[in-house]
Amino acid sequence: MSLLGPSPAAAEGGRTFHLGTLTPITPITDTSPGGKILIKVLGERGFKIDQNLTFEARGAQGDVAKLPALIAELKTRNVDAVVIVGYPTAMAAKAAGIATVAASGIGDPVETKLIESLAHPGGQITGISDVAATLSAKRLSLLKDMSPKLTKVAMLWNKDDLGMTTRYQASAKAAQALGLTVQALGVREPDDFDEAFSVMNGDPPDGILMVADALTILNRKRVFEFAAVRKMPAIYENADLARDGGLMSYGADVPESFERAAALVARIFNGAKPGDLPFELPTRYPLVINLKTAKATGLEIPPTLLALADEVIE
Amino acid sequence: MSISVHSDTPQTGTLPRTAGDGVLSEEMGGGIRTRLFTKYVALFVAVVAVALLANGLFEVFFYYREHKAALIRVQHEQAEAAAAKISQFVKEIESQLGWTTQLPWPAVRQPDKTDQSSIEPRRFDALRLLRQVPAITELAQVDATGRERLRVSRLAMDAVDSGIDLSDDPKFTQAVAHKIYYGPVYFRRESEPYMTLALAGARKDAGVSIAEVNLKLIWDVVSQIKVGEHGHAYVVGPEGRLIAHPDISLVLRNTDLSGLAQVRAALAGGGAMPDALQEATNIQGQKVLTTSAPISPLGWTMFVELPVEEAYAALYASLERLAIVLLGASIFAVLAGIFLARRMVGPIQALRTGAMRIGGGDFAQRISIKTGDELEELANQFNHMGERLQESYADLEHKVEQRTAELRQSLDDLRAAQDRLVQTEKLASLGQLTAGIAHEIKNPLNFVNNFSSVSTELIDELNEVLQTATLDGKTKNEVDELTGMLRGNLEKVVQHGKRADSIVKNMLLHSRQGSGEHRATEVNAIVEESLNLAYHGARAERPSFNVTLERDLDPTAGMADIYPQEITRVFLNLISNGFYAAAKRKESAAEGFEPTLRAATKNLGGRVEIRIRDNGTGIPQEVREKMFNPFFTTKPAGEGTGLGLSMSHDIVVKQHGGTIAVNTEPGVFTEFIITLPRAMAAGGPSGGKT
Repeated sequence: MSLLGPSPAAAEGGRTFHLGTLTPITPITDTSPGGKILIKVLGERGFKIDQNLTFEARGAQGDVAKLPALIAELKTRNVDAVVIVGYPTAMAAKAAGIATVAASGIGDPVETKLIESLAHPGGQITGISDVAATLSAKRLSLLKDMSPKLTKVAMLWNKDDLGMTTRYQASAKAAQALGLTVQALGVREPDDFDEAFSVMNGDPPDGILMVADALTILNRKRVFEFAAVRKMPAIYENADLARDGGLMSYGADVPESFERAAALVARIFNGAKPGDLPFELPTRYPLVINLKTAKATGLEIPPTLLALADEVIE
Repeated sequence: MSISVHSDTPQTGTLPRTAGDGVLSEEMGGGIRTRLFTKYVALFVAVVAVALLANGLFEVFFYYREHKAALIRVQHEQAEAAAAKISQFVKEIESQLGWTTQLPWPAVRQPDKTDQSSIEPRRFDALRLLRQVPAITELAQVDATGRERLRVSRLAMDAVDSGIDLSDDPKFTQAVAHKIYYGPVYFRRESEPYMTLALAGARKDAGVSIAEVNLKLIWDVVSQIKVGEHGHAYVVGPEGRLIAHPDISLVLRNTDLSGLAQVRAALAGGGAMPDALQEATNIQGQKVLTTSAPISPLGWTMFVELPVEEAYAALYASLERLAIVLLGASIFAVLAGIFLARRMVGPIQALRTGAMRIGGGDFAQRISIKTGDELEELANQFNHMGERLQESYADLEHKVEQRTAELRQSLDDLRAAQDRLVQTEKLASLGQLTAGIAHEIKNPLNFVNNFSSVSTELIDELNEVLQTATLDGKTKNEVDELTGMLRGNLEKVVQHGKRADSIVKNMLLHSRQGSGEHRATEVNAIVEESLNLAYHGARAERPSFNVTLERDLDPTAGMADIYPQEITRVFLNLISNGFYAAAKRKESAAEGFEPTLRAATKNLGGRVEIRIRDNGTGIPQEVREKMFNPFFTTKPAGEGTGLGLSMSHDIVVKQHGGTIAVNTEPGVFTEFIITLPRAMAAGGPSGGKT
């Protein structure tokens, strides 16, 4: 997909553009899937690594408190734009006033007051909006399709993350509509997981919905293990999590998001103001089912659900 | 071709050879306002440039029209193809949607198990449809009564038997009425464009499927439509809202394009726009060449636009090429014009220069033009004219010279004649005068001379008488003394009487000149005769006189037509003078001095030269100036009349047409050089006078 073809400014400008990336967890390096997509799409638009593009990847390794410092560091490197992931990162970038493209995981930016409106974001930020709040309900229904006798769902989310909290709230509302009870398991730090697991041990839920953020993703393996041991169906937000051992996932297509983010970065390199570039909504929401995990867990996946899956990991 | 203006005269060689270098032209062309060269070049360039320009403009005009028409045609085809693609996009959604309207809905809702089990496959089908058609975000199925039976969504939870009544909703009513319903474009969250597409089943009881179509997906279609390098296609809704554009941001910003002239025109024209608006400004403010096509049956309009710059790039390139060709041709025209003008004007300049030089009197001027045309012919005519002029001029000059020589000769002759006439007159009057005087003086002088000699004799007789008379001594002495004194006085009278007599004789001689006949005479003989006469004359006068005579007579001296008597007088005169001078020098000179006189003759062809040289006292300068004047003499009174040289001069120069010159050094020598023509000049004096 190309937007407007190679830009004349990029082709003839002669200046070098600096792109930074920042995530709360592991950095989006140029060899990571997201980084590869960014570099590939920017290359198609005339911004090429080793020619007129530099790539600075930073990750907070789960410590969101480090984000402002990392943003400041990128700013001293004179980056022209930062591709970020996650709501705390977006907040840090907004505070720093740096041209920002949010690739994923920032929640609903209007609801979190990150921007004014999708069509006219204003400020220094644009990107791909997340409809994860409404998607949480969809995930719950998919979890119910997976396990029709589902009545109680445990929700794991980071209490400190406003984006995640809104998701939890939306999910809780949807759960009620589905006749489910929600076991809210807000966590703030890795140690809280033990407590969450012990709560689930004491009052076992029928399934788990994990809201993805830095904290939960860092501790994903513990959740996978717990779900496997308890033979509990679990649904996650990112395809990566399903591929990494989670049972299933439903969420915006990450490659698509990074492609769009790269296109927005190119627009910013060509002189557009981020605040003038409307936020985009994802169009594809792949359903990924990890059959390996299902088999290991001993869960039977309904054939209709399997037929609907966009990606099945075997 | 070779052009040169050459001349025999050396000074013309330094002049510029051709007129092309401008130096000569400038000094000559004072009166010329515009040079022929400039005119010719300008005309040539103008003709060529006008032809080229006219051709160029003509071509550009038609090329522009054709190019634009072709562009519009291509663009229109693109727009129609793009519109067809969008229609296809929608039609595909429709046909996919058609699958969901195959099965009938049970007429009555039965909230039992069987109903649930009949809904489940439908839900599965609907979810599969969502998977297959990414543009459909949400699908609702409504039964024949207008109740919503099922709703599946990508984002929301599925709803089964929500029972929402849509029986009055246009989605339902329009779909039932027309089998298909295209809802208006709306923007979710004021950003993402959506459209409702409702499709009624073939069977009445199959109900209606209502799909919410995410129009952002059309982006895939429009962004793949390639329009030139920088052109693009976009879709505008019935109200002028932008539905699809390669710049998705414009769509997401919910851009209203009804402000653009071409959009207004196309909307008013039902999708097609008038030709007048093919060039317009697009939403980015760029000048574009644009066309539109209606997208049926949606009521949307597909626009295709190409930046004018790019559209006309080929035109501009061809214009540039044309300009280069024009420039090149113009330069060539200038060069060719200069070359041709040089060819043309060079010879003309050469002609002009040549004509000018001929006009300035340089008749030796020749113009060399080898062009092989009329100009060469003209140059030849000029050369011919120059030749004729030169000949005429030379002839004229020759004649003038000849006439001048003749005139000079006549003038000389006239002068000589005049001089001779004057001299003759002078001599004639002098002769008459001297003859008169001599006659008148001669008789009284004879008396004086005769009576004084008689008186002397009478004194002798008186003395004899007195001898006999007795006289005292004293008286006798007194008488003797008185008679002595008387005798002395008488002797003086006689002496001076004789001198006067001699003068008179000479005067008579002078007046008698010119007498005799002229005849051919041996020059050497006459010189010899004169020498002898003079020598013996001098010896007779003074027996002590002695002189050495030298002769150097040219045996070829030959004859000359002269008056021998007159010339003899001249020689005698000159020889006597020489004797006198030599003798005079001997008086004062040291012992051993040999008075010498040398006579020489020499044959000079038509003339004869005679030299009389003595080694006497010479002639001082102041004397030389006056020595030919009559009555000028340096001799003591009684010895010369002062007429000798004057007479000689007149005889030689005026009577014979010869010359007499003197060469002298005081105290060393004197040489008279006489040249005589062998023949007397025609019309010369025939003889002397009485």
